[in-house]
Amino acid sequence: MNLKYDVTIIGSGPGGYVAAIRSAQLGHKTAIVEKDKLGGICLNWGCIPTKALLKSSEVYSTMKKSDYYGVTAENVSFNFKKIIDRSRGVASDLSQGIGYLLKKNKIDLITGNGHIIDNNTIKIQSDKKETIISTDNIIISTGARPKELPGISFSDDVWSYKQAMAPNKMPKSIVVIGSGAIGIEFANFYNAIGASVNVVELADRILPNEDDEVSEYAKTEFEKQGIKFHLGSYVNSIIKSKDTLNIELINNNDNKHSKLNAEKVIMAVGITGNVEDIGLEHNGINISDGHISTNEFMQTNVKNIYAIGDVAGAPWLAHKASHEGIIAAEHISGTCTHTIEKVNIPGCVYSSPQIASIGISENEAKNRYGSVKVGKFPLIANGKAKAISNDTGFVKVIYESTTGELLGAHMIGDGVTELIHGYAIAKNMEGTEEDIINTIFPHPTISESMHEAVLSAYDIPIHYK
Amino acid sequence: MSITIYMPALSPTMEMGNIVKWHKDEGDQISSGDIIAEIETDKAVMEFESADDGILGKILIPEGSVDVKVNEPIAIILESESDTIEELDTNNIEQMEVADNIQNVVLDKRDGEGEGLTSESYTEINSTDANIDDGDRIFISPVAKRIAEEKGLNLTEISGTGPNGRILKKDVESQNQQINVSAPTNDGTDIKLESGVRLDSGVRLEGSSLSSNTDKINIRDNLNYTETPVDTMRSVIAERLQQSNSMIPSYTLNIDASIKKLDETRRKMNEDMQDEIKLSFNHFLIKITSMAMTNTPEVNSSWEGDKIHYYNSTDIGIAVALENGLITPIIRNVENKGLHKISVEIQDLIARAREKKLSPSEYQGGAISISNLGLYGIKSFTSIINPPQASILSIGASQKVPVIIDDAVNIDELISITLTADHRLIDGAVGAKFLSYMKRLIENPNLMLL
Repeated sequence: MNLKYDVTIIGSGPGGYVAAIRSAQLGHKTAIVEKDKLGGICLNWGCIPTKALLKSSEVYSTMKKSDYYGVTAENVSFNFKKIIDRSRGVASDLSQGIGYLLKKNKIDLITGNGHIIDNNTIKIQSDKKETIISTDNIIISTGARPKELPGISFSDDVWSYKQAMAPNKMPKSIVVIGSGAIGIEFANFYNAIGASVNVVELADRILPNEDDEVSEYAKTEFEKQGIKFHLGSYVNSIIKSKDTLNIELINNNDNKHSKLNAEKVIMAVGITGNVEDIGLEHNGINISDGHISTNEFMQTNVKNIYAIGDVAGAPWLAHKASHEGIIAAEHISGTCTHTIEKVNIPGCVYSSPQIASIGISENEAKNRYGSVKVGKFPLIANGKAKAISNDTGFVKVIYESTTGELLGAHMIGDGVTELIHGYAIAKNMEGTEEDIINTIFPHPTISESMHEAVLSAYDIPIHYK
Repeated sequence: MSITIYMPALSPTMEMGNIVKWHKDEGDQISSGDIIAEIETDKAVMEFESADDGILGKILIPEGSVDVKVNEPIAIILESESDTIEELDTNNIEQMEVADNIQNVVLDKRDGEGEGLTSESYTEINSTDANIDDGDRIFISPVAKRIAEEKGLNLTEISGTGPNGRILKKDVESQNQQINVSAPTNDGTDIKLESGVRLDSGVRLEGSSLSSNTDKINIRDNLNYTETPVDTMRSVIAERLQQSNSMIPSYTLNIDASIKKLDETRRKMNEDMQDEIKLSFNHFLIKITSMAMTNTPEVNSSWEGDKIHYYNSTDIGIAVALENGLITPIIRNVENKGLHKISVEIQDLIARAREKKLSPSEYQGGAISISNLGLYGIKSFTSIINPPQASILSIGASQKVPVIIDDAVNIDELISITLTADHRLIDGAVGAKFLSYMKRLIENPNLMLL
């Protein structure tokens, strides 16, 4: 074989396939190496299929309270297998879509495990054959995998997100370890379709990456829905007796032991980069804390080898990976003009209510900047939220007092994940409060709360207080 | 050929203007001096005259547009009639595209090539593009702009790293760091300044004790100087006075006048009015200046390049020192006003000048200004003419001097009046006549009744 490429990408997740398409657009002869399905975790086992599941639980919850809207629906029930099948179907459709995009952009797909031989050579090993290609540049986008806790391994009873996403049968009770976005989404899904859900979190609040006030509010809402939280606690042991798992918790503060019973455990305590078996060691590529180190253009210490997405470090978000893919591709072609500001990466939790945020929390802002302006607007004062009887939540913004820089925006409520980009644009363009204050938001929409929150930060709210 | 019309600076502090009305439509014939638009500044609505002849080819910024930056292109005048009419009729769409192109250039430097421009008039427009590209407009994010203003940074010296060279927050922040880096550091040792402001880092002063108009000052080079940005008023003053000094062939005449009688008259009048009005020497001086201008009408004029304007009314500027500059409000038609009216008006103008609430019409025009530094004990001085005015009077402090009358030493009180005049339109003898008439009125205030 004499395969020669300008750019070769290892891994076809949201980082890799986007990097491949951008490289091809820039006129590079591009190949992408994938050992499994196109689209990576995001598309097959993460972002997309979970949103499909959550839609089902949301429809179910809505139908159960349809009478409130004057709509009669009796004997509302669900078919668990159909819920799971629909989710798998969506993932499969999208994965095929990636294949089509690669073909259209004339990107060669090479199936198998990619291994970097030297900085211009990659060996791709599949069951059937071994392919050696030479390439001018390499982009590593091998992603990450879920972390295990010491002494607790994934099994048929202790699920990772992958198993939690496609079980054969619905568990009646679940303990979720970890209350980050993944833990909360599964807790929310299984609770909504009737499982008994306990969440164990080591920190003293749920969603520790969110603003404190959002954490507090979300916890209260989830508790109303029936989820129970065990904060400041960790799982000491899981012992199976018959069909039940006995889970022993220890409270980190007072060292008290307590017990929970559940049919299944979902462990969502973070992820670690897939840095093994791709030949990093032989090529002296720097790895730090389980992730490949890069500069702001995603370049590793070997200058024609780039790393993007989860394998290149936090935050572990698909949209961050895609953006890094574009930066890497453009940097290779010499056209890259921008880099990523981490505070400009939005984060979303697709629970019910949804949570979306960008920038830093109020506490962090106060610590870092001292003088800040904080504005908050509750959805209960928003016309659209009232009209759809979904007025849970609020929007909060934090501004730097002297410069008017938007430091952070935090939203909880119906559909807020579709709204956060408004603040993301303002933040990316370095807009001040005036840019949002002078913007006309459509009425009636929940987005008006975004406007009001900024007005409130400057003590001129119209619809509240 | 075409001429691009830019948003004019209609007042010294104007940075942006609103286009209230276009008086001409596209295709209308325009003569120099025609009012083509009404433009609202931060202070007033003003008429905007065309300085050129031609046809209004394209209005770039429509009526009702607000916050149009000074020097932003607002219209294009086409000079050549035959070419233009043909182009307007046949190439109207193309013409508009060209004009749109200009706006695109302003918005986005990447599109500055102006593709497919062939005719002569287009070439001209292209050269205008080049001017815009040369940095007339600065692309900067709102946050960066605010930080830059706060720090008093000169935006033209900052290179942006954002899209299309847009200046970002990090660019203005690193700018500041550069200044800090070049500054000496005083490790741990606080420096006490005489004014009591403490320097924590030896680099930057916080607070207003040392400066009246900037919050922060960067201190460099062992505190040998403080650096403050040039604000709009200061740069207008600098530009106008520099222009005046280099363009106007001026000369000065000096005369002393006894103010004994005038002072007596003034005191008596104030007494008789039982302090209902309080006339100052300046009020008399304004009236006397007006009367001297009427007596020597050549002085009441302005140089307009190829012509001279002689004014029918005597409009006199009064130099008022502000906290961070100066302004000369104009008291108009002084010839028709009595001392009382002058005193009331001048009081109002000065008060509003200090609050920066004058409309441009209140400080533009006039043929002469009066600057009085007598209050500071300055005996005699010269001033720089404020164009388009033709002259300026500098009034010094009064001084008691011994004079010999009939071989006896008497005490008189004199003031020094210095006239700085534009020789292009006021010859020496005319200036001298004007000054000596002023002296005559000052020394014989009863003549003011004439």
